[in-house]
Amino acid sequence: MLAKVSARFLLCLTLLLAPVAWAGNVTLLLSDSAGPYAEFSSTFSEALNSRRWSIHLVPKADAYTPGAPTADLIVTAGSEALRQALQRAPPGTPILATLLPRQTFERLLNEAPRAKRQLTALVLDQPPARLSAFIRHLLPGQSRIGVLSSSETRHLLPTLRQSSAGLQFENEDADNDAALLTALNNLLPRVGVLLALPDASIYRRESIKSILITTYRQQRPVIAYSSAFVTAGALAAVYSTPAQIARQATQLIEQTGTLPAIVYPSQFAIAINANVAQALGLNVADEASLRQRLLGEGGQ
Amino acid sequence: MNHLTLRHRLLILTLLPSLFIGIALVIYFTVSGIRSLQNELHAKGLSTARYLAPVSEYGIITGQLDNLHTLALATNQEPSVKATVIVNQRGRALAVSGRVSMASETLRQKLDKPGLVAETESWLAYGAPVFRSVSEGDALFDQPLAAVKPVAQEIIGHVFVELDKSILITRQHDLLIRGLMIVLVGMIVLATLAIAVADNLSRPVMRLVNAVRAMSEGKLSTRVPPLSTGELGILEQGFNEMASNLDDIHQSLQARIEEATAQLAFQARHDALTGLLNRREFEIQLEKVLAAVQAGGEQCSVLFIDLDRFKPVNDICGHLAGDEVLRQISQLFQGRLREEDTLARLGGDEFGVLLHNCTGARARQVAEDVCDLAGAYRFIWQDKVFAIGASIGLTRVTRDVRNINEVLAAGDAACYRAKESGRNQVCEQEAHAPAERRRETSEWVTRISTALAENRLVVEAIPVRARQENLLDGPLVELTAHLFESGQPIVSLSALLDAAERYELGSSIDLRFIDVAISALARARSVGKQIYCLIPLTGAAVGRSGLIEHIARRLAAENISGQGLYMMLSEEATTHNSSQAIDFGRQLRALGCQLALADFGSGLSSFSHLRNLTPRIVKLSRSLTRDFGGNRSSTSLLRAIQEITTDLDILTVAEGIDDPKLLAQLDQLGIDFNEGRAIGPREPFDAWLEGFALRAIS
Repeated sequence: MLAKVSARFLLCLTLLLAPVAWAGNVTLLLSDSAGPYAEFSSTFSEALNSRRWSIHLVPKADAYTPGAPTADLIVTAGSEALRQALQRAPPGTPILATLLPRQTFERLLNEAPRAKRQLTALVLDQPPARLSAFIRHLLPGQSRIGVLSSSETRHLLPTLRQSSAGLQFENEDADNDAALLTALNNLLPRVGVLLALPDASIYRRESIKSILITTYRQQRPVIAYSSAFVTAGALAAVYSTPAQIARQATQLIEQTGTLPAIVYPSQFAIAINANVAQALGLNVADEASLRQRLLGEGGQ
Repeated sequence: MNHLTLRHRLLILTLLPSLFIGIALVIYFTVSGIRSLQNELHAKGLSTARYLAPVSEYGIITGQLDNLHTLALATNQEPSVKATVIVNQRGRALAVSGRVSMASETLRQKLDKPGLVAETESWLAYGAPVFRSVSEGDALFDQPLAAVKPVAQEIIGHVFVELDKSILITRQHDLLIRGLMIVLVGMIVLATLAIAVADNLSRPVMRLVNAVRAMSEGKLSTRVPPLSTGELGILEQGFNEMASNLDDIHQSLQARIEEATAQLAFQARHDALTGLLNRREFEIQLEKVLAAVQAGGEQCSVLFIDLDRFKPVNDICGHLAGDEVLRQISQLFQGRLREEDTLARLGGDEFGVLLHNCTGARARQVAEDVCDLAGAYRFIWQDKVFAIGASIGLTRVTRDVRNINEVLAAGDAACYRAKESGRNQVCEQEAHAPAERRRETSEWVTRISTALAENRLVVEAIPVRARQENLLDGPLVELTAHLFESGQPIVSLSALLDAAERYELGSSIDLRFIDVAISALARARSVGKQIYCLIPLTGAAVGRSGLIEHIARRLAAENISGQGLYMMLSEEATTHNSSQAIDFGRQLRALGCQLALADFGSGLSSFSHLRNLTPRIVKLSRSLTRDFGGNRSSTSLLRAIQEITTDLDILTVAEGIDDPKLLAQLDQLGIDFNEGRAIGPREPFDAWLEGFALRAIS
């Protein structure tokens, strides 16, 4: 089924995203007015060329009503904004969805009424190559990487393995809570590190702690996908900030050419939890040098 | 509390409140200490549960029972934790450590926060819910819609810990014991101090107490050493001052008591009135003398003096006068006696004299001298003059005398005999001779009244010689009497009247004389003759009511006038009751009777009486006529009396004329009548009357 969805995206992209000189009205739809969305909104407004684009800001996605001014492009920030946009935006208006994990984007797309429109997602997921590189630079000695997957994220694994560059990814399925810790306990003895991929069905607020404790008890570091996760107890994360995403979004808008359905973030940040590193007895490089190494490798 | 000593009170006052305070403090601190321990335990239980709960979360979530068990065991290692239970959502125990006392219901309850779940005497149970912890997630990665509704924190199980209270109880016990020990030590220290203070305070007080006790037991020389200062010092000083004052007072009191004792001893031996020895002392002296005589010492004589006519003084002038008489008489006697002689007042008007080394004629002379002194003595009280006189019994104390009672009885009897035989004389009696006992009071009363009733009072006539035939138209006769009792010595009229007057029997004798005289008068009239009777009355007759009425009644019964009846009163009686005597005389004269005065001239007031009383006849005092003849002063006194009486037309009678040679001289003086042995002897009145009547008829 996932394969089918991908195929449809590719078709859409080729057909609809014709190279045009971009100009006109942009409706910026935020899931929420506060937090990362505000950061995104302000950076986006700054970065977008205001001579060519006029921005219509809708701070709350549920308050969005299509109409004047007629949007030439809808930019959504967050899952909720995309959901509203998919439901309410006039068909045909292209949508650039940002600030959401790939899994969520795919699920919303799957749920949304089918409509022919230009839809591109600038996802929060880091490209697999960057993840592999990050792991190699962060933990040079580790080659066996564990990954937990649910039914919604399992299809990403092959891509990951392709870019592994010597890393060996072990996978365990954890489709429900009960299976989660069992899966984790099965997985961890086989691997040196756990790579957490954005999967809302696995890494939930309620389960994160148990996962972290379990890994800690088995002395396995966790490579996470957000700074909050690092704060919660993961060893390190490579991630993109809302501002980085906002800048990339403006670049995507202004750039001509066909956009793929899924765009990985180009810019990234690195977070390391030094305490965790110390607790696990790991000697890791600092964030700046890691980032330099990653950038130097040119891992996009 | 009242029977406690000062020391005990002080100790109680000091120690009791301290003990209470100490115990109260111990209890307070124990309770508060226990409360803080309880709070501590509570806090411990809560915190243990609170800590255990999140730690257990992972174990509950993962179902790692080993892990939970380790936790429970670790928790149980905590002091006072006796049991730990970790249960899952449904209350099923996942891990148990220690001995669980909680009920299974307790384990199944739902808690929303840590707290006490059960409590008994010996343990506490705390429970805490185990929440599923929620991490700070990244909103961007949350599932859409999932974050929209924030769910309440999920409870995935509970932890329970039981805390043992026994340690609390032990601690409480410890605290109490320790506190009480402190109190005990404190009390011992305090008691030592208190005892020291109490001793310090009570010792001087006890010294004072002992001193007071000693004082009250009579040890007046007791003093307290003035060692204390302050109030106690003042007390000690004050006590010593008081003690010395008391001592002084006691000593002076002792002196006075000794003085008084001496006085009492003197009084016991002496007569208060006269200062002479009293009867008791006299008898003691007599005992000594008797013992001395029996041992071969010189013989002694004893005088027993009984005053004559003392009673009238007492009766008329009162006891003050009587006392004065006794004093004067005693001085009078003392003046005659030698230094070594012992004069004593035996009681009333009786005196006793112990003449040492003096017997026979010398003793007799002393007795006579005393008698004469008494006879010559005149007692003057206000305007009244009394002749006293004394009857004296003389007896000797010889070797033959067995005891003093013989002496006393003999003296008494001799004195009595002297009184019987007409007073103012001395009688002798040997001590060993059988003594006549003096009559007793009751005896006299019965004797006189019986004699009157049985007509044993023999009325006699004393014949009177007239100087001239024509002085009266009939013979003058004086009535007298004596008591005739078979086997008894004759009692003279003076003695009889004396006794009668003493026992208030005088009126019977008076009435007897009056009756006899009136009968005689009537008898003489019946033969056509007139007689004149001198009727001696007792002194008390003057004031006696009914006497005049009696005379009047008797005269009326005989149907005659009272002419020829001369009621004779002693000068003494008229002197002392002069107004009554005047009244008496007037009443007599109304009946035709006349008044006569006896013993005239014995008192100085004699002459004034003559005018007031207007007697028809006066009988001259024997003292005037006794020495008549040889004594010129008596003669001139008689002459003076005679002149006055003649002037007042009063007839005079001289009595006791024993010598016929005196008659001529008396006649020459003008004395109207004479009586005595020179004139004729006494004879029974009846005999005289019959003789007279026969002579008249013939």
